[in-house]
Amino acid sequence: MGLKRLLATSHISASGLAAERQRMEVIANNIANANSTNSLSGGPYRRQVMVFSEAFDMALAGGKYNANGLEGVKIKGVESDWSEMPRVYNPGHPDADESGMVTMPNVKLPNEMVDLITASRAYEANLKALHQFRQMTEQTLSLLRGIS
Amino acid sequence: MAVAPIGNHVTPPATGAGAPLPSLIPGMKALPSAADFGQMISDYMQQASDMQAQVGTEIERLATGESDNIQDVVLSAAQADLAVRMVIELRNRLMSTYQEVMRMQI
Amino acid sequence: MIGFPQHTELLTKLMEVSDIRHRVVSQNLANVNTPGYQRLKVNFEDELAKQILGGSEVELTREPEVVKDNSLPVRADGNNVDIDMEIGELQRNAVLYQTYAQLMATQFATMRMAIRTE
Repeated sequence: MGLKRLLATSHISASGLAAERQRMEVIANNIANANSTNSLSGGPYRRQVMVFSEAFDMALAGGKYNANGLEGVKIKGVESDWSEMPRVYNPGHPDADESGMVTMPNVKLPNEMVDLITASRAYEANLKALHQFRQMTEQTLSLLRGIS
Repeated sequence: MAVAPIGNHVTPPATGAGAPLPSLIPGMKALPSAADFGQMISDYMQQASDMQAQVGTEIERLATGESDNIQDVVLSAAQADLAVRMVIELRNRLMSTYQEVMRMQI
Repeated sequence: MIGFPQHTELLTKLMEVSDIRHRVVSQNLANVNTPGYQRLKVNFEDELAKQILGGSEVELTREPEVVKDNSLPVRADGNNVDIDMEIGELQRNAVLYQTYAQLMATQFATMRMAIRTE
């Protein structure tokens, strides 16, 4: 049994921490670019969404869906949000078209804030699980104490 | 942990029995006087064993969710542990006293 | 041996189940924002209760079951993990684990004392 399997439970929590942290980066990027009318790919910034998927190793689980194969979460990828970009009337804007309309990024700040809070709560919860696992391990090891 | 009987086997009198022995710890019943120390130790050990069995019941009650607190099982385990230790201590004291008596020059 | 502590097997099994439950709850928490994910739970205590009520010898070799829990409502992204409920499970499980570990330590200490005396 390798050291990795011994600490498999903490690996699950660690994957959650890593995933939520990266998701928060994407959300922060959305917020920072909420008003960017010039993105790298040309045109206004399009909202990015990080997508997760469950991590599971069937080989370790021995063919069934049981506790041995649980590996936490993995990042499937970062996808663009193809919803409509709002157009606002702002003729003084350098990127305004002939009718004075500007196409703005499809980032809604309240939504991003909610996502940020969700990711933050999930991060804390995964951290708690990690701490608890360490505590449980220490308690198990303490059973050896007193044995000379 | 078999215990050899200490002293001779004496049939306790039918009437006017001696004062009851104190119970080891609260929760254990006081035993009637026994002239046979070996029998007394056995009885106390049986009580300690019963308390251990009670711990098992409490653990099961906690695990199945029948009990909603950990005090029951923890108190039960503490009492059982104490009972076993006291029986052992009692036995040791009686053994050493017996040996001392046997060593006495008459 | 009369009076000898005798519940180490049961406690070991309960600690094992607690360990598995912690792993499963960790998986639920790691996937709290995964689309389509259904929460997992561990079945052991109900089986134990059935065996006890049935009066038969408690069978400690049986493995706990890890199953999907579809009883909770699903959110828009198809995920049914309730983060507060999972954290509650985490706490409760931690208390139980600590209790079992302490009981085990007590049993060991008593056994050591019994062995040490002549």
